[in-house]
Amino acid sequence: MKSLMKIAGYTVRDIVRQKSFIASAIVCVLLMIVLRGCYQGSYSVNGQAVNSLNVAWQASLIAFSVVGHIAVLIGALLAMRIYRRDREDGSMVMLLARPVSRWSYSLGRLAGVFFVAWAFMLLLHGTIYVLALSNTGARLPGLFLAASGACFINVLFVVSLVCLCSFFVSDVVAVLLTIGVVATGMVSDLVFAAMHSKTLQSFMTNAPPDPALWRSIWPKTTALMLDATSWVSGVPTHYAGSIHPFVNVFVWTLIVGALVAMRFNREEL
Amino acid sequence: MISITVATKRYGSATAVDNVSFEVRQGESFALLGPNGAGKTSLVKMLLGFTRPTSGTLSINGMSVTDPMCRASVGYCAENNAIPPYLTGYEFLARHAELIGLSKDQARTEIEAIIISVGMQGKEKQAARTYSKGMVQRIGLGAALLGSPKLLILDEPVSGLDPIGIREVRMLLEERKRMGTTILLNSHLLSEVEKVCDTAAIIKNGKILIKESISAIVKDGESLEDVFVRMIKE
Repeated sequence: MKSLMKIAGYTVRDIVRQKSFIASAIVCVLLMIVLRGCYQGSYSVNGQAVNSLNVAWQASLIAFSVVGHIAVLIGALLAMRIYRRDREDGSMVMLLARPVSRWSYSLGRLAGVFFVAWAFMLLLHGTIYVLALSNTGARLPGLFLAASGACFINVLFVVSLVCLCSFFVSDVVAVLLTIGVVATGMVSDLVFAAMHSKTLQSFMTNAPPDPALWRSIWPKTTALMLDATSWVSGVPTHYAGSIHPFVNVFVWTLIVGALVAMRFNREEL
Repeated sequence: MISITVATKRYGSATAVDNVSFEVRQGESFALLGPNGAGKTSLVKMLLGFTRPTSGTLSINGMSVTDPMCRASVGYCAENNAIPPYLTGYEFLARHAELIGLSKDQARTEIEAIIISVGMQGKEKQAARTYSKGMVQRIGLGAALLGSPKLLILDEPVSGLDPIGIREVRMLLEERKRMGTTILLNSHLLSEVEKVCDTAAIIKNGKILIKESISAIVKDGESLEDVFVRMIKE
């Protein structure tokens, strides 16, 4: 465990000193700051003034979800070359020549990438929170940051899946495959949530059919994001099957993480 | 210190190491010699747990090489050492010191001494992207020497070094040898091997042709190079 923590620490330090990472972090924070216009403007619909707090509130909810997806993408991009680069620049051999087990190494690298992507997400979510507080004086519900924290499992899942795929296919294909898995889940989760929304149900004569088994067990990253958003908005969401999205993604992450460690254990250096 | 028993390594239909067995005793300086593709690097990789033997057993200090702790007292220098380009030589050594469990104070003292001994003083705070191949090799060798390991596994340690660097490395190895460090040296520079090592094994097509003390291998009027060329051509 000690070596795992050390490897994770090196990974974090190596990533945050990369200029490309610093630049993307600055760009994302600036984008969040641009959002402050939403909190400061006055809005009217059909000549009637709209409560700017409501607008700020909706903007925060959208930004919350967008940031969650940005963090997932950043995690995927950071993870895609983590093992290949180590292999190419020789650091893998140099580190594994030390009393470091392979599982410590593979999971340490994975944990480091995850930690950076998650911290990135917390930073951006925190920026939204501070913006809303400073511009409107309104505190977003305390669950805002808790909901942000709950999305860590999405980031961990994506990072693990990219790492696993990168053993078999090229880096870019690994990211595309992972995006494919997430996007399929997103479509399935959004369609399911929409079909169970009160608005749509009021137009439907029959109750929506039970979801297919694959939709119940497919990684529910978007359902988890929607669920986390509902902590903030207070509006309940629906997800396919009886397994809570957090449990679903958590189990998938455990499976994929174990496969990463097992696959790396068989690697010939 | 090192025990290899009937180790075989196959890559598909190609046999890189074929039923090799030998032991290296504590304090011995052992050279692994052979032409390119003879199986030397495969043996070293198996010893460090980088690849698994197809059959046979390998152990260091009585511990199977599958146990990472067997590498706690091993220093390894690869033929093509690499340092992540954004790290300085000092940072690279500090990471290795941390991984082998040196305290911060111990690490600082040792790293400073090692930087001097590998001739990198004044350059240790530069990013590795500015280093030449020889400088990277010196830092790699320094990393192997950290923590005064009981066993040094050196795969072409003087690769990329100039004649002065080669001489300095030889002197370093002689010093470690005097300190009782076991050395497994994989090198093509036979003149250096002859000066540093007590024992040598010549390996060809994955099989050991001879394993003897260098004094027994090298007869009067011959050099190790002469014996090596004769045995490989036979």
